[in-house]
Amino acid sequence: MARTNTEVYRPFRGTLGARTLGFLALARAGIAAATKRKLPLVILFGPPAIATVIFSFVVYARFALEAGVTPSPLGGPSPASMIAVGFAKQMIQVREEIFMFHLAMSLFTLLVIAWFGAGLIADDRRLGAHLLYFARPLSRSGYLAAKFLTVLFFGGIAVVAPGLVICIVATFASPDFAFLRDEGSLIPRTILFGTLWAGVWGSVMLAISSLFLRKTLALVASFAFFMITTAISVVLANLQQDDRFLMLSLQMNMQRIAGWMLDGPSMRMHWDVRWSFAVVLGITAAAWAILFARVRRLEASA
Amino acid sequence: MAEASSSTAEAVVVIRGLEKSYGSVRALRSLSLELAPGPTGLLGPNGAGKTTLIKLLLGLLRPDAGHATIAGCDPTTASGRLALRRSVGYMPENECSIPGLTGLEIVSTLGQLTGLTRADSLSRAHEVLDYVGIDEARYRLADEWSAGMKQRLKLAQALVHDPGLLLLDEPTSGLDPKGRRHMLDLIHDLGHVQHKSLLLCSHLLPDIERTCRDVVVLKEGAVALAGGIAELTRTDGIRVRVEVGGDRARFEQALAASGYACTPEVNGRIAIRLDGRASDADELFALAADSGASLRSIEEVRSSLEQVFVAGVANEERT
Amino acid sequence: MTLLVARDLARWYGPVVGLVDVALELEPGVIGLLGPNGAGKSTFLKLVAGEIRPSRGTIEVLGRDPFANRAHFAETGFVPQQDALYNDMTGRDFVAFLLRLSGHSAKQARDRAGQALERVGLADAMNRPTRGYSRGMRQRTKIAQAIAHAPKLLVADEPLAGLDPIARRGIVELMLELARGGTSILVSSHVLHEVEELTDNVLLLHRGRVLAQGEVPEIRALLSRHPRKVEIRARDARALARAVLDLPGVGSLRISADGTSLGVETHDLEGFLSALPRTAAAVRAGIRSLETPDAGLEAVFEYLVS
Repeated sequence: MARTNTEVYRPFRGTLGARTLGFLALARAGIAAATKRKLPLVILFGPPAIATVIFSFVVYARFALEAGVTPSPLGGPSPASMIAVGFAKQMIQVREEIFMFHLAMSLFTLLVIAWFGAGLIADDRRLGAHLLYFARPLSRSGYLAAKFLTVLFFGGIAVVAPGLVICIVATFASPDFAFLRDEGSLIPRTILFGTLWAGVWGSVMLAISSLFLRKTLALVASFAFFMITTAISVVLANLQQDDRFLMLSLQMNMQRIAGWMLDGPSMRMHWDVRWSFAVVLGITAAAWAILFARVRRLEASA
Repeated sequence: MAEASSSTAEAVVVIRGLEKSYGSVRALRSLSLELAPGPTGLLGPNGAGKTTLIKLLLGLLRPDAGHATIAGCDPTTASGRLALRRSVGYMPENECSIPGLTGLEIVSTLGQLTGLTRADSLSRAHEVLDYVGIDEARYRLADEWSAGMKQRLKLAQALVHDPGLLLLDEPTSGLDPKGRRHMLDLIHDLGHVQHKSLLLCSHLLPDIERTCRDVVVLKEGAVALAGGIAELTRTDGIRVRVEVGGDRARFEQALAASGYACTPEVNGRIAIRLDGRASDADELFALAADSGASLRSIEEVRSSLEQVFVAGVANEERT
Repeated sequence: MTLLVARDLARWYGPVVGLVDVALELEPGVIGLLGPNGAGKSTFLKLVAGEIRPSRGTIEVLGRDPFANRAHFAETGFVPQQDALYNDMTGRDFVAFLLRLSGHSAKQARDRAGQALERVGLADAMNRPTRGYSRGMRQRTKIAQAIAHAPKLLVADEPLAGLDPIARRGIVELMLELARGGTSILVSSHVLHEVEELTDNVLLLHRGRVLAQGEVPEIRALLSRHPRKVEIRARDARALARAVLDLPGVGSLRISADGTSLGVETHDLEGFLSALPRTAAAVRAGIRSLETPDAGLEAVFEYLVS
């Protein structure tokens, strides 16, 4: 119900600065908006979190075993340690683990980026938020930078964090931080790959989001993009008996890059990694071209 | 914004000979306009260029030709266009909201985007939400608010950075009578008591008459008419319009006998010319008393703003 | 015949009350339907239009039950609040299409569509696709489709929304013209001064009930809880105040700070106004204007709803 207005309007006595990093407020707001609903967070981050714990345990167990079997009071290997030794023999090395972890979780990490990224621009257009944003001293690049940071944040949690956690567990589980000495470069490489992955897929998601008005449509479109490109590339590769057709799929290219950066097994991908970088770069550039064009239209309609 | 407005204060907006075209459509034709401080109404038929003018005042478009100074900034440069948005607040006509945030977060985020610090923005958001009359609802998601509250939120976000110039586009659209009244009270307060410069875009002339001092009428991309509402609606001489009760016929005879020039009007009232005889209606009361009539209402005859608008728009066609 | 009869009319949506306890008889003419948001106006309009049926009670419009009644649709025109034009069709085709749906022949539909669109001022634009129409033009197309079949009752929900002052004036004139020709109009609007231009006869809903119905001056007279206000501007308001103190029904006087304005509250407006001329002539306080500010629709609405 409307009330009689008895509040006196107070003029603003602070300073109004031209802050170049002002768009960060928009990124923060985007993160705040997305984290309001807890259920999607639990569903989307739950399985990767559980998987991280499991993989970390595997890493920890491997190093624990390497450090030596605990002597039993009876003077022989205990049944538990024998089982553990058997288990350890199945284990693979840490860097391969991170790679396998990423492969195993790729669907979930894509889900995360799609879920948090699909509505970022679509919802703004639908609700008319651009009318409010562009009446502010916010440039088009500022707007896009803020949106990109938001999607990068969630993508980062999905990809970089688990890898880092496994590395940290490995560091402390290995004797005298041997992991750090031998495989120390894995840490920055994990971060770099994770950021690259989140950045590329985030850009694609933002571009798709800018093309639709509803988040659900953008989600459908992104899954369609992912599945159709992957399916076509696999089918063609099998038909033509040529693995290079796999380069049609962004997912496959990212796996190739992952293999190269993290020294993982190359599976079916034997082409020069520079091709993959080129394709990924091309797709990212196309995504940003779309984004700039769409945001330009958005600003004009404000 | 502590200075009170005075007639010698600088114009908030000065525009000379502005041109803007979209392809073959000339949206603004050599537009010249000076917005004095205080509340001004912006009128015009659909397609007259109001939207384009608003975009110009928000720094959202670059003029093709002409000179403009908006809140001290130059809209022909990109930095000027960004800078002027710090001094302008915009209340859009269409529905607009930021998804997934509470009302308080929306106002606070927009404040930060305009250049306030985080702390300033939060306290300021509370202040403006108090001003427009939103209580605990500010902590709820704005998507769930009623239409009237969403409208008030639009005004609050326009005020968060305390701009000198406010652009209000159809601020009462969709509001029920109580909400309209409240909104008009707020706008009146902003324009007359807080001395903000307002540009009120509306098709509802009584809204403009209630809240604005000046008016600008646009037609086909140029200014057809501009001036103070009081001056524009003034008519020659002093005439009053009276509604007569009781013995109307005898009263009209008495008027004629005393030599008053009268004109009967559409809704049963009489317009009486007073000048030369008297400057007030006391004599009319005397005549009414003698005729057994009563005067139910007396008002000074002025043109209505609608008549001014229609005349202003028609004039342009002839020139 | 009476325009509309409602007996014990009620409609709810699950546990939510749309309308309850509505009993009224409306005579043909122009009636303004008012009320705050959520008061039940759209429910009432839908019942009158025959889109929904009552949960309880009856409603009769022009002598029939309006629900899903072809005869009723033929005699009623509805201007909805929403925009539902087919963007690919021209204005004329759109209106003609709707007319054909209600049984007109192709030629009849086309002719009547053209006439209706001319009446609303879209003579030039009617042959262009509605995609290119401005908001005001879309609004006028909606009005055209409602009047094209010369209905006996026109039901309009915010018919003047989005129209600039000139178009607004045109549609108000059109509606007054239709009313003079015998068409009844039920118009719902939040913009009270527009309703006042169209009619003095209002139906005010609040929380699903009828709060008031009838001519505004009569309703005002019934609100005896609120004494009548008279505002007088004069050169010497104080002298005038002393003089009117003893006039009929005067309960309170208020003099403005600058002494040029006098506000009077009286319980007997007619008595006050009849006695005022003699008093004013005697005191010669230089009266410049006189008005009864709370006689109008806005004040009545405010008093009733608060």
